[in-house]
Amino acid sequence: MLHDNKKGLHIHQSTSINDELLKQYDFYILGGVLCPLCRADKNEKHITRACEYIRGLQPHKKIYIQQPYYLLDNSEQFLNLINQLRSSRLIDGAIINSPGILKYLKQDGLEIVFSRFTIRKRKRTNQYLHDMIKGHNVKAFECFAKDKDLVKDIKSFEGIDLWLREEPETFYAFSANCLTQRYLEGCTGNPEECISGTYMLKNAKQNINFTLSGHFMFAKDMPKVQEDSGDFSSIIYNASGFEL
Amino acid sequence: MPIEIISCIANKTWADDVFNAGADAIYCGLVNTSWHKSDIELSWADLEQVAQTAHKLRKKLYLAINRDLSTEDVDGIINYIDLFENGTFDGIILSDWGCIEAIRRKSTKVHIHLSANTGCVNEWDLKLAQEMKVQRIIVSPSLEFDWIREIVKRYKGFEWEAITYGMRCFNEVAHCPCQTKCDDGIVESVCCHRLELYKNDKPTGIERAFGHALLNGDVAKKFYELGINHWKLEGRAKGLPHILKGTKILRDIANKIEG
Repeated sequence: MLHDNKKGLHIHQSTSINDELLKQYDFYILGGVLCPLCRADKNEKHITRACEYIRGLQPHKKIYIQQPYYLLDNSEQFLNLINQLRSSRLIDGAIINSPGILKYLKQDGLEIVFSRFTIRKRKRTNQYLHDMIKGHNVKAFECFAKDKDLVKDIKSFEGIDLWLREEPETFYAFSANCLTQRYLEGCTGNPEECISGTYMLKNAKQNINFTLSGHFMFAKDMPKVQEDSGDFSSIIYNASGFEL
Repeated sequence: MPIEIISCIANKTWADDVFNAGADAIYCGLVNTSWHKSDIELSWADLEQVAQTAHKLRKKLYLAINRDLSTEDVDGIINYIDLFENGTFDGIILSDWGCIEAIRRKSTKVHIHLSANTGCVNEWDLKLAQEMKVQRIIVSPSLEFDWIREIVKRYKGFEWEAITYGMRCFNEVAHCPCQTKCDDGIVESVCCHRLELYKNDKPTGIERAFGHALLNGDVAKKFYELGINHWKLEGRAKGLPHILKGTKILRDIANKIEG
């Protein structure tokens, strides 16, 4: 287990990338890659340009691609993109949530991190899952710092680093890209009028965690990772969602 | 292709009523292994009793363990694996790949259903499920019809299942355009808004929250025509009347389709 206390930055597709931001972090994770629920216009060209831009500004720092949670019928496209970015040396690793993909990823020169994502966000894990994936260049598991049992589970795995995730500073940005807006006609764009928006606002004050099955997480009041949280390899901070 | 209606119970005393309402199978959770509170999950002893009730009526019982598990949790399940091998339980619904791996190390006979809670099912996970001899795929409500049609066509050999979260009135948790809240929170018939779902074969935020709109007969028929003939009703936390009503509606729809 590394004790190097590195700081990673999760860059969602809506974040402005600039050198001032990048300088503060040791490595980067590009999220929302080909995610059908995020910007539909984020195609391979855009992702490649983002990687080239970051490489240009911070050539010695690592870049990881996050497998989108809602990876469905564009799974072939995602695999091809990863392989292409890997062979162009534009990425150093991938954060993966499907155990199935590990057999199909060409892993030379690619570090694999196993994602915290399951449909309800992973709360526990077990040695059997670790046995399934350990032969595939998996170097770390990530999880939220507040999931103490999961942190314990991951620490019990030999040879696996622990990446702690901070809760997102704001997922409220998702309201602009809400599922309703994407899929239902007649939405005014006003969260108080749309179905998903009403759901979110109704429960926002209760600070309830939801899954991504039509619900969103309000994390403004969630506890932040303390840098003295114990043994971990990296803390990953989420860039606030704001427009490009 | 006969339709299997899978309903749910939160208590062993529900089983007879749910089967009488038209369920072909029931599923329930095991205490301490699901996302729900323990008071709607059953112990191993209760499960065995319910299994006896089911099999007397020539019906089935599936055990749902659909959360991520610790090593100890998995080892606890493996201790009861002979109850699956000898047919006491007809199948197990799992979302934890590690648990599937552990079961398959011990037995190829256990009938495994891959829960929609494994996340959105992509090609690699389907290939992995084939290799691990998973028998049934429970299709995520987030998938579009075109993709569901594609994976059912490409991945032969699986049984396919769709889920609906039952009869909850949308106005309990969201803002239905019809503005009409059902009196007891349980719809009498299919809510008007559900008729608008899947307009362009794309799941909306509502489907993502409430599952496939199987309670709409037209939508149910579409799923049947895709090759999905196992239909599950969720919502045991809402109580027995809710489950009985939903089971009867699904049974009526199935009877009409099967002629």
